[in-house]
Amino acid sequence: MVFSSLTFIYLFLPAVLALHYASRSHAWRNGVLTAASLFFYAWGEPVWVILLLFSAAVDYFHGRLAESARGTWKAKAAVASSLVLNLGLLGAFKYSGFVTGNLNALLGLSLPVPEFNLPIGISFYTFQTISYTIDCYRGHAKAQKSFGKFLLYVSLFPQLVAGPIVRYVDIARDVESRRFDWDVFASGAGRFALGLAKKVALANAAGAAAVPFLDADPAGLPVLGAWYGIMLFAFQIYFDFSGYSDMAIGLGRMFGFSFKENFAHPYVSRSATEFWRRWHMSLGSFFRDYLYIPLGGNRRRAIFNIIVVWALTGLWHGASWNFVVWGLYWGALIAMEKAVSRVTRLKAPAPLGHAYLLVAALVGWVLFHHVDLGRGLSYLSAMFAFGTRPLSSPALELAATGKLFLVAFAALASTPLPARLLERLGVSTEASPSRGRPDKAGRSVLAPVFDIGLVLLSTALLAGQSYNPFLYFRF
Amino acid sequence: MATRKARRGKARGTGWRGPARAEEKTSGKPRALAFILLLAAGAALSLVLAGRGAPGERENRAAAPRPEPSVASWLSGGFSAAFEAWYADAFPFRAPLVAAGNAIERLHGLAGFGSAELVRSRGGETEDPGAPAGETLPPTEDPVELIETGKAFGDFLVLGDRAMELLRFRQGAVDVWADAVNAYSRRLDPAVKVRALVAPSSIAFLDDERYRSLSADQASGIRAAYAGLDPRVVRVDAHSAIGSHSREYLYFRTDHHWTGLGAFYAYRAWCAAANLTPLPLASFVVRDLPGFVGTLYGKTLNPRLKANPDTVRLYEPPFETSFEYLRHGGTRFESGRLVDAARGDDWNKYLAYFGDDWPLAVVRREGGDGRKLLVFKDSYGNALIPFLAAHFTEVHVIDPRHFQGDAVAYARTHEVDEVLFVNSFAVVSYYTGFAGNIARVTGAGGAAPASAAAPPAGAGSTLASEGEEATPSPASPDA
Repeated sequence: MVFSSLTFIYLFLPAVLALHYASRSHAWRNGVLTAASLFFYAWGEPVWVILLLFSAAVDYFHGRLAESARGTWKAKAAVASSLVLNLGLLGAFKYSGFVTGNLNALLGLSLPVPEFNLPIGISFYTFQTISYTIDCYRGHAKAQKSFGKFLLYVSLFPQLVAGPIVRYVDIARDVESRRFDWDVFASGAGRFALGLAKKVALANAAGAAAVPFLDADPAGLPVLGAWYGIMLFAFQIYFDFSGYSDMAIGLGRMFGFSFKENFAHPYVSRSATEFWRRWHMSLGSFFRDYLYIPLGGNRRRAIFNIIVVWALTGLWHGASWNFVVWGLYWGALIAMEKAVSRVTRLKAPAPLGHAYLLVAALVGWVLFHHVDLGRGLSYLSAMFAFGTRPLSSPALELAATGKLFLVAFAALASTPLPARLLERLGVSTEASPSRGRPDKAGRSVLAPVFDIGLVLLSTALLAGQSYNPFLYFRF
Repeated sequence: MATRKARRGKARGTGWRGPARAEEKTSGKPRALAFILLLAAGAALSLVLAGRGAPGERENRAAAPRPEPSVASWLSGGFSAAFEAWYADAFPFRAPLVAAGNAIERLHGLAGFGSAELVRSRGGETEDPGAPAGETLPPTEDPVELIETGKAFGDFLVLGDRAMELLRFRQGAVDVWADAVNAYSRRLDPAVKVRALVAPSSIAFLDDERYRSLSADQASGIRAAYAGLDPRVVRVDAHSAIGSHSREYLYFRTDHHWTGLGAFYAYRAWCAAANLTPLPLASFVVRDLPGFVGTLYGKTLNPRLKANPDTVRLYEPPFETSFEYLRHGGTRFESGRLVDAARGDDWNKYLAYFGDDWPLAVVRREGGDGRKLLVFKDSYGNALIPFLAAHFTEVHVIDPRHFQGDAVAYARTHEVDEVLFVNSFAVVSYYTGFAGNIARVTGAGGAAPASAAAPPAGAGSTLASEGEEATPSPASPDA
């Protein structure tokens, strides 16, 4: 099930809220949430829900072993075994086709290429359970004694299919007990409404507008058409992904869980380094804490570590070479920025930094979007073919004027300005950093109007998506 | 309600932690309650009113049925997909919600230069919104599948009160079409005359080159399609014939079809290719049906189109005809009128020319010289048939998308003298589904056609109950 669907908003969510808050004990509430989460998962992945249960069971036992046998070889073995099993799962379901395909191409073999449909969310929950076992081993987390509570952490539907990658330590307290707070619930509702609108009103619209450019033959694109298409894709992926994180965070709050932020206006960054501190933060910190630092960080084999971490970061996004290239591209930019900052303490003027980052991000999205690297390169050459091909075309002008306000709004919405404006108006959906509690600014009378407006807007657009007239009659 | 529960919960020490500072902390309450009420109201309304929001006839499709749960359908994921489709179609206030969603999308920008606007086809979602960004790539739908289900990918251009479909061209697609026509003609008696007419769509005759260039060039596209035809197949140059009258009312503004007048000029081109003298337009009985708001309004939902309906001008033949047709899945011919002003509502008045895209229809004219024509057509052919009928005793009309039978055997049985393929540029230029259907019904799909001399007794096939020659089900010759 996806959050941005009528079924989720008007059937699943109200039913789960009602059952959760009608439950008399904490154990019941946890039970309701776990059952709802498994139903939520099985709705889209009826067979592979078994993998989720398997992964949860594996790390439930490994986490306990890693804790109880801390300091002995057994704890190390538990971590190793958890890594093998989880990464094995991920490898089998996500990468086996890619690996055999490459082996066949490289060695001239004809191994059968396995074709699995990627189980939903497997990249997220395997990483979460890995982080749990390692945290138990390191003593950062206290192993969960109850399998039920542990399963709740792994399966918790708000963060199950699209992140953020929630660490057990961050919600360990919430699993044990949760406090109901109208303010928290209210800000969660607002956050959900905001994320829903980001996904439905901005990401979907930008995505639809991008298709004619991204899917066109790059050889026929005018220069600005290529830039325009990838800019729309940049909006699509940002509002899609950050909208999903917003919905997850909001849903979490409604049920009494607090998840960490996952996006912080990445497009306002001035460097690649800053961009990755603001983009999908839970993934970046996962690779930092569980791979980059254990490898030696920047003290030992720094170049090697950067290559490994960024190649894997890329590969995590999909089993295809273009993602590896995309990851390495960002790694190279970050390494370069480090080298430059070591040589000179001068900082580039802000506008230059912004321009550099935006171009860098758009070039990156070209690599990311085009699974076929050759096609990606010819798209890039269209972007930089100034002088050798037309700058614009009637189709581009018509398309761009037709989406002028959408693009302007999306650009504005990528900055922190709207959040500040909302806070002024008393409709904040942010948690107040000082108190870890929702801001008082979310209590204005405008707040419910704002939330309901966004949900109704999204409902209308979702209904519109089901409007599907047929030109050629179907009987 | 939840506060009470929370207090009670706390009182019993059941896990809500922290003090219940109810008085101090109720300020977020209205916001939370408003949200809860919205969800509850939506849930209640959708359960009580389920079914009131079914897609209108505008969408040319039936509402998605409510799925029956079963272990198998659950495990395949089919149940959840079907349930969501049903729920979306049955959602209360669906029509006003769709209208509101459309109004919101119209705020996305200026309407282009002047009043021009580009509208993306609402062809169903190809992306999986549930997948995390970047993890799953949107599956590309098979183009053949697309045309089969009518979900043809496409864009629409709205200029003032007129909408046009933007078409695409692939050499490979027109080659498949030409091959299918060639393969059929090779199976016919050499004495049978075969002609082909590819009908251009309205954007081909747009004055403004900038807008016209948004769509594939139809003159060269039709030439490319004709270039693949055997010398035996006579090409009908409808494009030039229509183009020399481009100031006239040749295409509907709110619908993707040509008007009766547009079809008339194509008919004259066919007469020229067949060395026949066309009937003058004045000899037909004219009748106007105003208030037609067609498929392109349905696609674009542009209010300017709705405010400026088309008029369907019917040209009734000045001679008596009988008209029989098979319905989809039907086994028995029904009788009706060839041109029937009473057929069709405001949104599909094009039906008045010929009716639905019947799998098979036969027009018979009393008297005549005994000659018979077999037409393979998509809906563009519908407006043309009344003109063609003047020159034959029988006109047999097959829509290959729906016809279930062997068209080679059919032509032999009925001893047709001429064959005409009338296909719109839209169905042959980019997708191969239509050509594939021609190949299917003409046995050119790779397997040998069923022998006309000893036809299998296809129980339940379209013609069996007519007492005419039984035709095999489509699956058998191609299997």
